Amino acid sequence: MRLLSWDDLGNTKAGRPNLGPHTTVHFYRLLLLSMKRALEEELGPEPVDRMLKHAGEVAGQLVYHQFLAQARDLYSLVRDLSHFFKVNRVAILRMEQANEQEMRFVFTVRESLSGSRAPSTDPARCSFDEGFLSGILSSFYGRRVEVNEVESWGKEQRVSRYEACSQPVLMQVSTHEHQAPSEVAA
Amino acid sequence: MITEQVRTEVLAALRRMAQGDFHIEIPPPEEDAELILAVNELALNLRRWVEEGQSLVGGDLSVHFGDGGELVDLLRDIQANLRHLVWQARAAAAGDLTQSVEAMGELAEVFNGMLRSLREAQDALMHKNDELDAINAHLQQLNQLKDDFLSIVSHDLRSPLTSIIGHAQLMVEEEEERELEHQRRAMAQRRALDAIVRAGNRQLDLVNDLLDLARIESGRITLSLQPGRIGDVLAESRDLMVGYAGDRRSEVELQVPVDEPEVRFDHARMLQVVNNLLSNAIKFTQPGERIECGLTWSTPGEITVYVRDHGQGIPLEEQPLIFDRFAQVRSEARQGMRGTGLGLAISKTIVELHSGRIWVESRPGEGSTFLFTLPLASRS
Repeated sequence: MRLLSWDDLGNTKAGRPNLGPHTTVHFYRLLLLSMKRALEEELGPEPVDRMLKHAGEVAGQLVYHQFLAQARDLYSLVRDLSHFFKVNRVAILRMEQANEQEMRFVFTVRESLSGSRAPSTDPARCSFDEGFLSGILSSFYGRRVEVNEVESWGKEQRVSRYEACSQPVLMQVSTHEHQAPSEVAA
Repeated sequence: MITEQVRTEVLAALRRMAQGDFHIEIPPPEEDAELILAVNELALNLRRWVEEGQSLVGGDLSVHFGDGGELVDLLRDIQANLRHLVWQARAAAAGDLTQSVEAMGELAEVFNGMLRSLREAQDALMHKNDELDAINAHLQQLNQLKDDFLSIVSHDLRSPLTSIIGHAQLMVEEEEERELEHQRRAMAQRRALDAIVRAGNRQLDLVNDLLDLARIESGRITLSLQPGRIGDVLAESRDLMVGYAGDRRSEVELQVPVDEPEVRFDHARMLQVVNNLLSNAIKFTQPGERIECGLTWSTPGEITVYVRDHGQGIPLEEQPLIFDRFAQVRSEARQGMRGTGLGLAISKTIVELHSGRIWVESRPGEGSTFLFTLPLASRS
């Protein structure tokens, strides 16, 4: 299967000369939730949860190699990712704790595209976001980093707190030696 | 319907909580306990949230908040903001001043403003550093130029000097070598000349001795006797022998009384006799040893002339032979100092022609004294 690339998203400047590259949060959520709903009807909630997380990882890897690969350390990665989120109106990222030796991180995301002020009853609501952040960190560290939402709060401004961790691997790539995505599924 | 007591207690508790006093625990009544328990639970939760908030405000950013709705959500948000600020501050402390804080209102503005000021200060510092680097590079360049200049100057100054000094030293050494060579040649020439002169003199002595001997044997030698002082002959001979002694450095002490009597003698022949005796004394005397020559007239009618050395002496068995023709002392100490062997024989003949006598007194190792007598002029 061919790897997904940034070019697959198309040339929005040429393709949308009048409307431009932007859309609304509602339309994004409409696309995400409708797709999720349709898949759940076909496959059930658990497979869809995994699929959304996988999709998020693919998107995170793509964004990392397209925009963040120049980050030389975690500070600059967080800075660049925060800037990317802000420019693209994705979310507000706050890194709370980081222990690179133990590969444990805590951060919050607020005003997320997918979650802010959305109904909080859906347990798979943050699956794509978890996968997306996992794709970013895994690409940066060259090893798999799992990201899970551990808390969420707020009604008007929903906030999600995530924890990220990585299990030791036998053949660990140097901490700041970033690899190209090995399997970006199309 | 609630009882008046419950109503009163609940209102009092709510008023206290409205004033910020959450330390409330109302004893549950027998009736309407549910309302009191709810008020107690509210007070308990409020106390817990206040305590968690106080921990957070006190700097414990790891505090875990329980369920509590929007109030606790607010505390969680504050906690997340504070944690993020700490993390950003650590990034800045690590040298990354490019961070920025979003969505914290005035706090974010102040924090980002502080980072901006630090970046500007850092930029200014780096600019200063760049200027200093440029100045340093310029100074290093100047220093290098100075070093190069000194190197070139010292090289250009040293090289000719080295050449000049080297050639001068070479010339000095060559000149010294030439002088040494010249001195060596001069000394060699001098030695050669000395050898030639000595050989010539020796040949001359031999010829003279042979001629004298021939005259003596043929009876053709005649004396020209004139009165005079033999001391003068001794002095004349000593002066001659100074040159003869040369590097042997023997001291010849003249022992002539001022009132010496006159004798009649052939000056040339007598000088020949004294020369012969004095030269023998010098020849057989070690350098530095003293030689004495003089005269006495203790014997009536004659004077006795003596030449005394402090050399090896003459073995007793040879003493009677030394006035014979071609007689020479054979001792090892006298090897290499041979004369013609005719000098003493001729001297004996000359002395006897003057009516005198000649003899030797010697002991081996104590030197020799040659003596001859001449009659006083008054007697002859």
